[in-house]
Amino acid sequence: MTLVRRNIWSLSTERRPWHPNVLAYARAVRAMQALSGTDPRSWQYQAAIHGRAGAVPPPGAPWNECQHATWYFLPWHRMYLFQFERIVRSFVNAARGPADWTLPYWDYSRGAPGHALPPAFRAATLPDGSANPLLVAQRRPSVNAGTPLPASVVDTSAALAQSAFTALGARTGFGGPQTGWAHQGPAFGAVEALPHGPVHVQVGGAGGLMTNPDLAALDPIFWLHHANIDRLWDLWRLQRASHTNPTSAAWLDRRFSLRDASGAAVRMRARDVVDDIAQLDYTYDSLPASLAVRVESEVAPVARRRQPVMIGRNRRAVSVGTEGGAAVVAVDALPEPAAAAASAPRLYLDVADIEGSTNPGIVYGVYVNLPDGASGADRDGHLAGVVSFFGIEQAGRAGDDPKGREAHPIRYSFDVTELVERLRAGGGWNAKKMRVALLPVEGSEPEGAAAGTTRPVRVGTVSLYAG
Amino acid sequence: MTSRTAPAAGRLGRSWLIDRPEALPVGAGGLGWALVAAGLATHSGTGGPAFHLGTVAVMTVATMAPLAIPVARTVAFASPWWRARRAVVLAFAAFAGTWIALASVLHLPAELLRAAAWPGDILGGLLVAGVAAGAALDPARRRRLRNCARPSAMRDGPGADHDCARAGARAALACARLCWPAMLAMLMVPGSWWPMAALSAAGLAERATAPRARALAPVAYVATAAALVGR
Repeated sequence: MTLVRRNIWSLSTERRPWHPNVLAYARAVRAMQALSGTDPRSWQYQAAIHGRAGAVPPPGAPWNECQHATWYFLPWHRMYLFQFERIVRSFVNAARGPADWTLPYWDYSRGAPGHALPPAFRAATLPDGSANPLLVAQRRPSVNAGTPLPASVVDTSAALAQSAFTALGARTGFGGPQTGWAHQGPAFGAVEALPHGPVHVQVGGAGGLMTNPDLAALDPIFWLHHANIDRLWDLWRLQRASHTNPTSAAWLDRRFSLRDASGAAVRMRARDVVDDIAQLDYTYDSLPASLAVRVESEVAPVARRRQPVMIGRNRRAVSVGTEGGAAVVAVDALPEPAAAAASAPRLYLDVADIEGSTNPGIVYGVYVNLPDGASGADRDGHLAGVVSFFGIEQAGRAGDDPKGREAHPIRYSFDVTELVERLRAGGGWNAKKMRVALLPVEGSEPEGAAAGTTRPVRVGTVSLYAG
Repeated sequence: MTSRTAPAAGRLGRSWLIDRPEALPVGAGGLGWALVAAGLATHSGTGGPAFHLGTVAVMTVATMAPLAIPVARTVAFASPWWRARRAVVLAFAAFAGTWIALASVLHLPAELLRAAAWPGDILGGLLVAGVAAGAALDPARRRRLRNCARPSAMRDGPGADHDCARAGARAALACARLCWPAMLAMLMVPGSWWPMAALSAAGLAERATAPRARALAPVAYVATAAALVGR
């Protein structure tokens, strides 16, 4: 029987937060938290598989294995969730909970009420009056109070509009750039850039668990957030026949170590998880019964594009503090407007060579030529995308990490073709100079005791590409 | 060196080298192999110092130029279009120059060892066997391999040329940490092109196949070592 992962907001509402599935999850979390951290089925151990800085892993433990800013981001997290779900189900079943228990997902992108943290993760106690293990104090206070996530933080349109899973140069595709094993790779794929990273940082805030990859999986909402990212992968594949996964052996056959429901070592490949229904026997309540049944729409031919070339960049690095920062990009040889032609050059804004020691816990909008004092809809008209700096703790360590594994500065890439055309048409464009401002998106301003205590993030390169 | 400044605003100009920055190292390597194949640059142990130096330079470019492909691509991508060609040329020149300097320095111990000990084939074979052992057993080797292709941030403006050249030199030094024994072995083996070809192929295979086909490069090195010792 194919198990179905359900939207948490269809199970847990403000009036009735404790659906049996959700209550079973809370009790399983508590049981896992009670185990020793060296037990592979424990909460601490499972979180450490994602990341745990500075800790010495037990012999053979697959800690610090999460894959970010790489084309392994999606398959690795699917394997991770799949094994975690089986571990939780074993605890649920041991406590005589629902036999077909599945991990819910949090779809925060469809407006009210789902764009707020689910009520069961905000309640102080379980129905029996005991402390709620799903409530974590180390979150952005307003999120724990039920304030909705800002729309710009949960937007999936840019990710789902990607035509390829992976791409070269300034284009990173839906799933991320081709790399080797990468705890922190060179550039985020579109779905990792938004909504994945911004939701992490918006929920965690300054100093929160979700904000730091080395702590994120300790927050029970982490798993529901990643179930949604996993669902978005299926959704993207279902949109068009041309939306396919990589077929390269380098992607398909890469092996990763995890722990199964008995705590035993298990190795999985991307090849083993490309079809969650057929291979892993689960699906989502919002998806068709088979991934083989594609929702065919008009399949536009994908124009062959040349490697993008840089047509402008900043001279000075930008220091981004809690108030934000700005760069001036000298531009040359911007292609003439020809957006109607499929083969016309597209424009990409690269925000790269990003380093820092701590995430400020703020989601920043990247605005092009934003007039002083603009707010609300005026700001939105200049928005190229958002950056969250999720993973900057790894990226700040120049070169390889202490285990000799690859680490990179963070890089984001945004397709700004339409934005630039709009600014040109509206007279908001200077042919020689572009001003790029990074400002906290509305609703993501600093909050809590840790806000304002972090050091600024350094953005080394802001550049414009055409190709 | 002065950095070329941006031209007046105009049409985006793209050259073949901007679209295919790997063409320069591949072309230079191909030219080097053509000279080697023509017998003009095979290390024979005869001739004057200038001939030796020229021969070493050609051999070095032939064998090592393909390893400059990652740095050529990186500097092309990270440079504005009006400077991308220049960036590729500067980075490759620095890469090749650094390697030629290193090979010239290695030339002296190669000559001394060959004169003082066993025949060059056997010494070279033993060195290559050592490389094979490293490729098979050294856990830090993968990290060093990645360093050969590690991108580095580049400034715009006056420092750009310096940064391009530095990127090329750093890539060469990172490669040299791995490849100097193979280069020394190559310099000790007189008069044959095939050890050069075999070592180049093994070096490329090690970079192209890591980490999936880890056995391929050690096997290639071992085969080369065996062929040298048994010659």
